[in-house]
Amino acid sequence: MPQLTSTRTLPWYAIPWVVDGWRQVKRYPLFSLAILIFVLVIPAMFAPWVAPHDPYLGFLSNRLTPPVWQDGGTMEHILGTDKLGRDILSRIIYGARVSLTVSLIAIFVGGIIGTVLGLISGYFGGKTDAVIMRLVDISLSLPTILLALVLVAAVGPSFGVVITVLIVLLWARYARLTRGETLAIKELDFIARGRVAGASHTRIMFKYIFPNVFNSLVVLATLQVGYVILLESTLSFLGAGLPRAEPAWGVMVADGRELIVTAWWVSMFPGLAIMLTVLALNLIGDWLRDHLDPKLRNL
Amino acid sequence: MKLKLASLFTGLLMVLAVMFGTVLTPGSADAAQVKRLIFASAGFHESNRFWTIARPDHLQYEPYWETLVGMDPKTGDPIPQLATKWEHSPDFKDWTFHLRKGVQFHYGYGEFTSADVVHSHSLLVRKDSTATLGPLWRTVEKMETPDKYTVVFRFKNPIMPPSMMFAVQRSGDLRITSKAQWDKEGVEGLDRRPAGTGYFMYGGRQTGLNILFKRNPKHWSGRKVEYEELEFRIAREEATRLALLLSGDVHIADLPRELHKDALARGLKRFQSSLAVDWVSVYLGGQWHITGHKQFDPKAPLVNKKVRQALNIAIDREEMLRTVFAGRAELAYLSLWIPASEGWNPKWESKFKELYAYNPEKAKQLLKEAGYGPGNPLKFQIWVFVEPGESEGPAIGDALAIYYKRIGVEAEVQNHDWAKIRTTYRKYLSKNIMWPNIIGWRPADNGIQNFYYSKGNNHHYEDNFLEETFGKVLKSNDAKERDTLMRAIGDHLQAEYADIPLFWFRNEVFANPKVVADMVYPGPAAGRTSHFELIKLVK
Repeated sequence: MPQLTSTRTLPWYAIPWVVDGWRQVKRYPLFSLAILIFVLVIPAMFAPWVAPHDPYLGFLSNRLTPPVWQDGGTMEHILGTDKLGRDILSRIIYGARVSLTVSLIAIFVGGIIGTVLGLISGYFGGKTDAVIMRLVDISLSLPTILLALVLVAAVGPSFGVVITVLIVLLWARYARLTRGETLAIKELDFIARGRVAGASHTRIMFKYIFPNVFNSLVVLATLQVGYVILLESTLSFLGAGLPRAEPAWGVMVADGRELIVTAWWVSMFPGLAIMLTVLALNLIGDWLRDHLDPKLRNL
Repeated sequence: MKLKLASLFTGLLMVLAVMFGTVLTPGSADAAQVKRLIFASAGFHESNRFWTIARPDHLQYEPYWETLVGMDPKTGDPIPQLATKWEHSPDFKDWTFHLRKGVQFHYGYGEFTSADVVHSHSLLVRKDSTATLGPLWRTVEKMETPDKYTVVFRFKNPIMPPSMMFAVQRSGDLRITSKAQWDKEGVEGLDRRPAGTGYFMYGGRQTGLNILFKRNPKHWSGRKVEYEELEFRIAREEATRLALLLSGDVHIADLPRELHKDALARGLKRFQSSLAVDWVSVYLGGQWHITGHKQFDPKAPLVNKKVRQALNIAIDREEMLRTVFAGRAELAYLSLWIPASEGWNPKWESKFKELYAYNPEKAKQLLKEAGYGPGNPLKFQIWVFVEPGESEGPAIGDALAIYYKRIGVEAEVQNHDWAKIRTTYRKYLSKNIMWPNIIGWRPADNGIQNFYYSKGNNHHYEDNFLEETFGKVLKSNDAKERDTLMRAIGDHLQAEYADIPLFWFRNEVFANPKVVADMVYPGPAAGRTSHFELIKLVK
């Protein structure tokens, strides 16, 4: 009978409880979750307590202070200051709140509109389906930047304008996804039984079909958060997004672009924040898709 | 997953590359081979219809359209150009110009004569004219041409020498164009290929990209420009203009002060105008305090004098001078005036220190007295723009917003086109906004007519006292009386906090030292950078 090896003689990485623990850890995208939590969620939720300074207040005498590890840097402003003397770290922290707020509102509202229209389109079919799908086609072919620029020229930059542009662009994807799923689900037996039992169209759509589409919507929404944050940053960078003083990451990158060689930190750190957040969200979205609905691998 | 990680790695590499900076130095263009000298500009409203264009945008006309009177590049003094001499009547209402003989228009449009002056003036007073000095030119009651080389302007009111010279020099907008071309080709000919008399001939433009000029081989002065072609290349982004200079794609560019340190560190050469010719002030909308004025709204926040005072004393001008302007400017004690101006009061400096000293606590108190506070914050917009030679507007607007935030004011900074801002205050639509504006020097009476008088084009600050007092100035040709009246106007504007005066400064451009050896220009030209014909190249 083979003798069991004592754990004291095994290398650390072969110890059974270490191996089991690592197997559990690998099931979840911990690295991405950690980035997301520390770069986005905690700053967004606890900004007033986490940020060392007021993001809107600056002192010209402190302008363009480099990060603490460079000559001239100070612990007062760990990541340096921008050209108006505003603390970059504080603005990145508050910027997380801005980015998350804008993207969640846009996705939530766009998602609701798209889901409802997609359910109606897929369930009823015929002319209703044709009309809604043509609206989807139009929405998907709208040039994002041009639309944003026109709106900003008409009413000025604001949260409302950015969210409106994002909603107009997002709803179509939810509509299309929901419609596709609905077309498949509505032919199943339990739907027919529901009709026979006297369920109304609304009940069938929202009580029977919608729960079966929900997973796909969650995956799409997660994948879209990163895209929306990037889009909002792009619009703000171009001046067609949030107002200048707002600590939005895109605005911060734009502010520092003419100083990219002399004061690289002004654009670099918000740019890094955008990159890490979008990457983390995309990795989590991929993981969710693989685990919740592998059929969506083409999303 | 692997693709995403690869992307992350690539992205990080790019980040590191930028963090360690580039090692650009001025491009190694060889002066001997520079056939075309290229000047990068922030851009301008592109049109050959000079009577519709703001003065800073006259930069695009500098190379090919001349004026009656020239400007000494070092002193700014009037010198003969298309006119060889000039005189005025004792009452300053008649101005006679004796024209240079034998000057030929480009492209074979014949000799320059007094008919061309009359024609050029007529363009400035057209119905569609929005020329800055349009109000002045419209007071010409009659123009006479006793012969081909003499022209007489008969004005309704006396026009003093500084104002007349301002109007007919490069600082003004009377560009001399060919009547023969207009008669033959109309405005379309002017749009396509305008004929001037300058050192360069118009070579064509690509809207949004560039304008090309070719050396005039037969300029009336006989001077030969050192290079064959001149190009104004439009590069709206400041960092792009710096990059173009460093790469050698352009040879001269105007850069905002924020980039001066970097430009100098990289070996670029700075040239500045001979004179401090620009001042920057912030103008407050809604200031139409004339009895019965239809657009005046007494409830508009900026019309309250306590608010105007608060907004003035909330600004630390010394700090702004050190930071935004890198120390390269001087305090302006009052908008428009310099010590050499008509009506200058030496007490304005001490008064300024008393009335406008930085005092944010007093500013908060004044706002409280005006009814504003934490529960009812003062709100307005700061409109900023960028024009040739005027890159600092956004930086000033942002700095003001920071100062105002400290006293509880919510000022939202917005980027707009200059054309929109100008239309807004010209049409009395500027109620809830303020805008920083860099303005080129002009005689004080011209400035008041333009900015502080209801019959002018631009409506910055107007009230009954200004209407009455300036009305007297217009009718007077007595130097002492005018001086007294103008001083009273200045005293009034300063005491009323009519606007927010900031700084005077010189115009500055940067050049590739391997190409440009010297560049001299006075500064008061409408387009600021001028006298391109005098640029000396490195041999």
